[in-house]
Amino acid sequence: MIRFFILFGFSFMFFMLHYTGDINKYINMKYAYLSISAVVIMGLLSIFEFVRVSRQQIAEEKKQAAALDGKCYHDEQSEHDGHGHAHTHTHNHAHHAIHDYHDHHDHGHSHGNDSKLKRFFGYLILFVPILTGLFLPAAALDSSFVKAKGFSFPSFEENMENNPGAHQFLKPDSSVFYRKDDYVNVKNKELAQFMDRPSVILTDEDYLKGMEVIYNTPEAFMGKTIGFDGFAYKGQQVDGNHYFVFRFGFIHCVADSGVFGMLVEFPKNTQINDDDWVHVTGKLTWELYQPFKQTIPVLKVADWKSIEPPKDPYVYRST
Amino acid sequence: MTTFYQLNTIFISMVMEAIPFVLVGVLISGFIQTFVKEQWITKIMPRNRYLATIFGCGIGIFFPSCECGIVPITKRLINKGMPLHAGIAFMLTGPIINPIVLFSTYIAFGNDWQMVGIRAGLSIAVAFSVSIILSFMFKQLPFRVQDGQAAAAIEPGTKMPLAARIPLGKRLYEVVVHAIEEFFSVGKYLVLGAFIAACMQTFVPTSYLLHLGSNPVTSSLVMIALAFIISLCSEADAFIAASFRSTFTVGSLSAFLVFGPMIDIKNTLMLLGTYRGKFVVALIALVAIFTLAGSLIVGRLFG
Repeated sequence: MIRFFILFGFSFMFFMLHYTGDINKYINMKYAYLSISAVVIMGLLSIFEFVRVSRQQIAEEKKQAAALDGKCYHDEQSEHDGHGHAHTHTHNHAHHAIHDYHDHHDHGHSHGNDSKLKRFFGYLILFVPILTGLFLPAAALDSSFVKAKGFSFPSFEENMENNPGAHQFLKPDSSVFYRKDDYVNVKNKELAQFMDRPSVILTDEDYLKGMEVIYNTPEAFMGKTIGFDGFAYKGQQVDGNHYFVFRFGFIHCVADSGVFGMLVEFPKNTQINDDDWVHVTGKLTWELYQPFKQTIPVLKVADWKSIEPPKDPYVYRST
Repeated sequence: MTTFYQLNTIFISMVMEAIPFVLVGVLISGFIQTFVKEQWITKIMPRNRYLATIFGCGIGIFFPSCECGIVPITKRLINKGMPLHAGIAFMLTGPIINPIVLFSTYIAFGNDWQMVGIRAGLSIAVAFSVSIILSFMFKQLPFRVQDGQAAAAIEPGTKMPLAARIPLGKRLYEVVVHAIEEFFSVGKYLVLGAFIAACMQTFVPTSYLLHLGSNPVTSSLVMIALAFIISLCSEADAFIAASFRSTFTVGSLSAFLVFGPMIDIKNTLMLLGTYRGKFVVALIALVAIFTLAGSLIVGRLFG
């Protein structure tokens, strides 16, 4: 019966995550069909297991009732022993012997040498993700994770070779997803989408695309008004008014996420904590950023406000 | 505490990512157990060790599965009388040589067949060498629990099993019983492995690792270590590899793409649950050595 609970538990947990919408904190919704099919399969398996076990129990009870009748007590007893057989080869450690006596119609109870304790631990382990998945909050990756991931602050293009850690930092780079000449086309097409707008306010949908366009051709956007949401991250700045404003972006699931965003210059003496969510709008400028030893595009804030953390903290690559 | 929640989030996301594939894996394994006859395997399997291994490298095309789902399938096939070298060759190439993974590699690397070719070719080369060597090293089946390999493999031509007469409904029932059995025997290792991998992601700053890759040998080693630690599903790893393209050479990327689907934290634990420790150690060591060598050759050939 414990197996039924585990199968059902997994199905239920996946279902709940879909139902509450928390699922997008774990995986890119593009792959949601996978976990939905898992919900269905697990659900069916759990029903199957439930029916099978309860049938077995009924059969068992009947048998016992028959045994209590006392008529063929002896026979039943020996048959019972035969039944227990599958669970009693506790000593199949002899690797040399080939057990060709093994009956292939026995239901694959090949794990006879798992001791009870081991079995118990096996089930316990399987319960852990069900419980933590259901009851622990889905932590949004935030600035503390930026540190945990050990992001160093590498310099940009020129020094990329020495700093492979830079690969998905600040600047979303999808160039690797295209062939060189194709990428130029895509780049120009995307640039055209953003160029004509008098002000570029990025939404969750075009955040990664827009960031990439801006980083590709910052000169085209100099002096333009740009706005976006993100969480603040102090990093190694010395002065009090520079913060990074980041979003975590996913390719497939949390395990492969990266941070993307921009350095933002706030008005003097602005007090913001790491992880505070802000909406910023301002003009794009160049600035020398000491830790990178390089001039990078920086957003000079004209207007900013604290906002509630969005329902979905992540942005996704949708192409 | 937040760190713990984040650890849990990554852990759950890995479990969620892997479980659909494990389910497919155990169901296929159940089908094999019930419907594939021992005689059938011995009949189509070439007698020759090398031919059989090459054959094993090819069947992945028919079983789209990732590295977690394939462990139970392989175990079942070997128990059904597939020779060890063919089984291991299948297990190593299966997560790579299948339509879904190859296609996602094609997409990830900008609609370019070159990387697909390198990935497929290198994985076959590695799997072939590893399986041949292992088959000479281990004469006995290296399972932890001896299921009793099909008698048919040892004395071919024994009488037909009764299975043929069992009605279809009953056999489908058997399939599900086996699948559930299998799910519980591999599931716990998957969960444990995902947990360790999540710990690694949370506490080991992977970007420091990336700084170590300065020459072809160390950068291949770094990519192998990275593939092991982050334990991505082979359906997704091409996209991650592609994101390293600007900073790592084709050679070291091929190491990542070949080693990751064969061996990572999740499936190491699953392997340990199925095979004896000595065998798993030998397997991992050989795969690492051949991947490294292969990636250096690829680096020479393709820059």
